[in-house]
Amino acid sequence: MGFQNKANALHPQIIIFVVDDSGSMQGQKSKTATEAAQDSVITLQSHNLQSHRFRFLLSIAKFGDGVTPLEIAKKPGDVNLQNLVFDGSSGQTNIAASLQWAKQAVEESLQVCRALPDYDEAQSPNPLVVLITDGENTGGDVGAPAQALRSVSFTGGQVDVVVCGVGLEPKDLATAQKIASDPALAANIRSDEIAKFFAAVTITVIKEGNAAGVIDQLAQMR
Amino acid sequence: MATEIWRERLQLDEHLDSPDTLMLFSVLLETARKLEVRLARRFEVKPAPLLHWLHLRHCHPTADDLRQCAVSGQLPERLQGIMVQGSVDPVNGVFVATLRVALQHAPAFGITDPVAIGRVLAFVSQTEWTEEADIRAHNYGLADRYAASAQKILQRKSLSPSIAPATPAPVSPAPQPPRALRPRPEQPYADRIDERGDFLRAGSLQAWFASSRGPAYTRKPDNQDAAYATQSSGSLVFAIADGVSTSTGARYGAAATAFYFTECLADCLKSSAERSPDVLLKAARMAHTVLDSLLETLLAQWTEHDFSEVYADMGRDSAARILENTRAPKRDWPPALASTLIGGYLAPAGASASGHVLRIGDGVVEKLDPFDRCDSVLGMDSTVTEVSTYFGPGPIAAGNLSAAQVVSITLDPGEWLLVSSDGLTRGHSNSVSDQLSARLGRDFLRQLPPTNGAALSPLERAAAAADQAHASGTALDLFGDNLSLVLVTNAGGAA
Repeated sequence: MGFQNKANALHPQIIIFVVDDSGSMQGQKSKTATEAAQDSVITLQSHNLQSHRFRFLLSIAKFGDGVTPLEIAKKPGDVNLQNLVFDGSSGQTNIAASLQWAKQAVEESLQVCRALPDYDEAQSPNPLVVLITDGENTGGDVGAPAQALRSVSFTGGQVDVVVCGVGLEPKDLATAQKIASDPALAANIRSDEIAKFFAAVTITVIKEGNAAGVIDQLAQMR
Repeated sequence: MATEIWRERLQLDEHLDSPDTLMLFSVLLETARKLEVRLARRFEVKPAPLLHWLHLRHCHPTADDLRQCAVSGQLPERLQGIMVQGSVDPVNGVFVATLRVALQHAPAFGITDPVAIGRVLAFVSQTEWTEEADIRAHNYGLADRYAASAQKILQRKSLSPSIAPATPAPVSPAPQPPRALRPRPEQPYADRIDERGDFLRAGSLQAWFASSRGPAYTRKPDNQDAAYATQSSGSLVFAIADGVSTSTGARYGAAATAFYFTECLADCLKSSAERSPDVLLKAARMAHTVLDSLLETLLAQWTEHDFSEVYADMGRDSAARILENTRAPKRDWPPALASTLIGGYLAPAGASASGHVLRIGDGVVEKLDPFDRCDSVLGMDSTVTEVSTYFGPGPIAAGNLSAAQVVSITLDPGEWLLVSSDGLTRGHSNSVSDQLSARLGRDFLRQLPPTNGAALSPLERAAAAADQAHASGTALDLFGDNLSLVLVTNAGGAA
């Protein structure tokens, strides 16, 4: 079962970060998100060293009115930190579009993995999609794209979707829970916890790749 | 005239030697030090034989002699015997390479007399070989003072050094750096003596050391182990470092650690008769200081030079942040240039030899009696792959020095000391020596010929055996890591 496996070169983990870059993220929140995302990538790069291939395959995008892909299906060492900049200049909060992109990123990443001669999908940790947003969805309905994302075929497991709300209103938290692959995988954090959340994701994928571990780690860090 | 001054003085003198001579000396000392680190071997000619050749026998070399030597790497017949023992490969050695640089740059300083060039080379040799700390300090002081002027002249003449980027002085010199071991960040570590295997003697002691990537089945992208040994004041000094796999620049750091710890320990043994465990801790502190300084220099030069050996798969930007975080930790990132360290010395005393070994992190030390009975001096749990502590630059590594283990060792005639990184402990529960005996044959130690390349043979054979066991399914993770060995035997008092 992929759910509890630790990533390695034969069964790498696909990780997708989708970060809200709408106007409401301007200022400290986007600055913290930038630093935290870069820190996470550096940690993953470190833990990918001495691997003959890659333990993690990263895709990262920011979204607002639309989606700006920053990296797609990249080995950690190939991610350019300079690209990972969020400044809250991307307009409104089209979550539906971000989910559509996440699905595309998962599928492209799976293609990369499946092209590996000895890739063992059944032993690989579930692909992990992490969506971070601080606001109300201004795009279309998220139900269908969220379902499409969670339904991407993955041998021995499923796509795990974790949603991190930053100071969400209760109604928006309900939307987050609708997107997440399990309502328990939707967290609502304070803006000063953004770095902790990224760290929780990073520690979790390094240790076990289990999506539920993200929420556990976050609870421990609080 | 240089030849006359030569007769009177065996020491560089700022008041008597010309600035041109001192600038050339500065360039050549810098060159030799870089080459020594890069090739992991010492300047192969001691000053006395060089002096002898240059002057006392009145065999003054001609410019053609020097040029021919530089081009062919072959020493003139009358120079036979000046190389130190074990330096059988002058073509690719430090001396000949430094000579080439000397011939390239000497004209820029107005020096064309081959004897004068040879004299400067002799002072380089003196600096590297002298056991008198004040002479070494004096020479390094002169080299430091004339380094900037020399570089300016070379730049003006468009004769930049051919082997590596120039090394500016460290931005902020670390406290108590051993003068003879100023860090050199540019060494590529692409061609290392331990990866070819090396052999040396110290009195009755014979030592082989080697390091390799390990079994093919592990698919290790590179060798992050390093081994090094030298002799100092009659003692054998050795070290193995195993780069931490999540550490940025692990291969580079391991090579630097093995080399600098060994040289620092050699320096300590030269400068003091002290033979207590404290000498190892002192050497480890000195080596840590050198690595701190190396880290500072890497950071200072990061934008100027492409240190691809350091950043490797990390990417330049990420690696720079990791290096900075290693110097001043703020985030919970794995440290840069981190490795385990296991090293020590053996000093012959009568028929026996005694010494100490220090360990920070994992690795094993075993002693075998003449009947191959193994005594574990420092063991480890071969199922644990995460190291509990490490050596390297930075304040966290400095704190780790308190976790160093130091043990005493004696080696009687016919006995062997085996020092290994963790690789050879993996995939079995026996001692390393027993497992190697089982795989390579009982006499694998005694069959080692006293040659450089022989040192690599046990590692290559062990890796081949591990690959075979893996392929057949009989042992899936045997020797499953990079492999390094230092093997020492006491040949029984026969020098």
